[in-house]
Parts: sequence; C-alpha cells; structure tokens
Amino acid sequence: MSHDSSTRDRAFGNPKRDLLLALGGFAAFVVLSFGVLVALNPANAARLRSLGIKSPSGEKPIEITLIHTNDTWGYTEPCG
Amino acid sequence: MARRATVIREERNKGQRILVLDAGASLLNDRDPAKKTLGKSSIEIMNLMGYDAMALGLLDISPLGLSALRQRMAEAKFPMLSANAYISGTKELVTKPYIVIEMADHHVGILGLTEAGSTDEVMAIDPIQAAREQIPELRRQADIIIVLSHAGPETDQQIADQVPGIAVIVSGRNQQGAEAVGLPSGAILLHADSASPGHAGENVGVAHLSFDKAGHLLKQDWRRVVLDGNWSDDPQIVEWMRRTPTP
Repeated sequence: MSHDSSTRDRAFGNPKRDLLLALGGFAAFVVLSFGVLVALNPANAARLRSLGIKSPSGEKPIEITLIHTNDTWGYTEPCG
Repeated sequence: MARRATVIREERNKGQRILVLDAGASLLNDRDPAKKTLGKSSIEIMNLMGYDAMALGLLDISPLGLSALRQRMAEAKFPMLSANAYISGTKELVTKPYIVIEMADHHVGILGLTEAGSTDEVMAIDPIQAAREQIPELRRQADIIIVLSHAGPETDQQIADQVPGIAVIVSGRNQQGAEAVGLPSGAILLHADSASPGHAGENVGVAHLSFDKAGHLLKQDWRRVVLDGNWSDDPQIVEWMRRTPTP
C-alpha cells in the first residue's frame, strides 16, 4: 500500500505546490512580456535611454576634417 | 566665395571625411546680391559648396522675418539649426535644434545656438539653458558632439564649462581674431573670422580632428586659411557669379 501511495504522489505531485508554480510561471510570463512591449515602444525609448543606456559609439577611431565659416554676411566679394 | 569654394573642393579631393559648417550670420547684411535677394543668393552658393549645416544668428532672422526665413530654409540643401530660437509667444522652435550625421560607424551630433535676443517674431532664449537641456538628449543619439554657435565666445566657454560631452564648439560672432582654443572641459573652440563692413568671409577655419572609437577627441590640428590672391577662384562659383549681377 505504502509503495502504491508514494508512486501516486510522485505521479500527480503536490497540488498546492503545482498551483504555486503555475501561478509563478504565469506571473513571470506577464512581467517579461510587458517588459518587451515597453522596450519596443518608441515612445518609451528615450525614457529608457535616460536610465543609463549608453550612447552609440563606433568600432574604430575616426578622422574628420571640419571646414568652418561664420559671419560671412552673404558677401561674394572682396574675396571670401 | 569663389576662393572659399576652392578650399572646400581641395579638402574634399583629399578623400577624407569632411564636414562643412557655418556658425551663423551668413545669409545677408549690407551688400547685394544677398541683401536684395533676402539671402537667397547666399543659400544658392552654400548649396553649391555643399554645406552640411548652419546655425541661425539673429542677423539671419531679423531682416528676413519668419516668412522669408522659412523660404530660405526650404531652398537650402542643408539644415539651419537653433535650439533656442522660438516663435514669439509660443513653445515652438523656429527650426530643428540639432541633426545627427552618420560618418563611418560614428554618429556626429550637431547642435545650433542663436545669441540671446529677440526680433518682432522670434525670441532666442538663453543659449546656455538650451544647451543644458538639449545636449544630454543629443548625447544619447551621437558619440561626437559639435556645437555650432552664434552665442558669442564668453557664452560658448560657459557652455563648455557647464555642459559635459562637447567635443568641438564652432563659434561665430565677432571676437578677438581667428583661433582654436583648448578649453578646460577638453572641448576645443574654433573661430574663423571677425566680420566688419566691407570685410566679411575672408577667412576659413580648417580643423583635422581625430577621435577614438568612443568618440573622444584625441587630437586636433587647426589652421586659419586667409582667402587671399594665392587661392584660385572655383570655376563653378565664377560661373554662378557671372549669372548673378553683383554691385
């Protein structure tokens, strides 16, 4: 009898524990899904970035030539 | 202008990555054809030279008014930027505050600033406040930050002191000479020219900038180019000038 009983316990588990596991799994699924949806929403992107997500950066150094003018007043002459 | 175009073309021909920027007050002032065309001639020629961006100075706004300024912005193939010029009585900016340009695998953010002041239709608020508000947002989109400012040299230095993350400030308005100044923040402040009646646009600044992979400025080599008779006229601009009567 005792052998039969322990076999049945292993087969069907503890109903209370199974319920808790199921509820926990469902809650984790809901939280994860919500997180993914929030992260993919462009409206939330800026807020998430402000929480510390890093600026973009390159993979290699870069050299740039910057040519600059100011206060040219639209002159075509005398030279510039 | 024809000599300026030659300098730009020669730099382009070297095959390097080039940015051509103007720090404002370059649409018009006291001379034709810019005065007569309300800056349209300036836009045409800056389009030909391939400018990437320009900051709005009050001198670009005041004589035109909003309607003509919007026409000029529509004609320009480059953005005119200001993070602090608002349509009076509103919270609406006159134009984009900044742009982000992709260069290789880097993102270069360029923010425009106008000197504080007002016209009948436009109110330019404190540029330091605007920089404080906008640059953190721009830093999330770009690893290299360039400020294109007509706010004036003292204000530009305060911005560099108070707002982290700026690599270069291209400075406009009149100030002592043309120069490249290293600031305590690590940013450099570049200024090409000081205009006076009859003499404007005679100098161009050329800076060779090296950034590491994170977008930090490692070194710079700047020079002022005086557009004197040693420079030939660019044929495309000469042709444009032939078609556009000048006084």
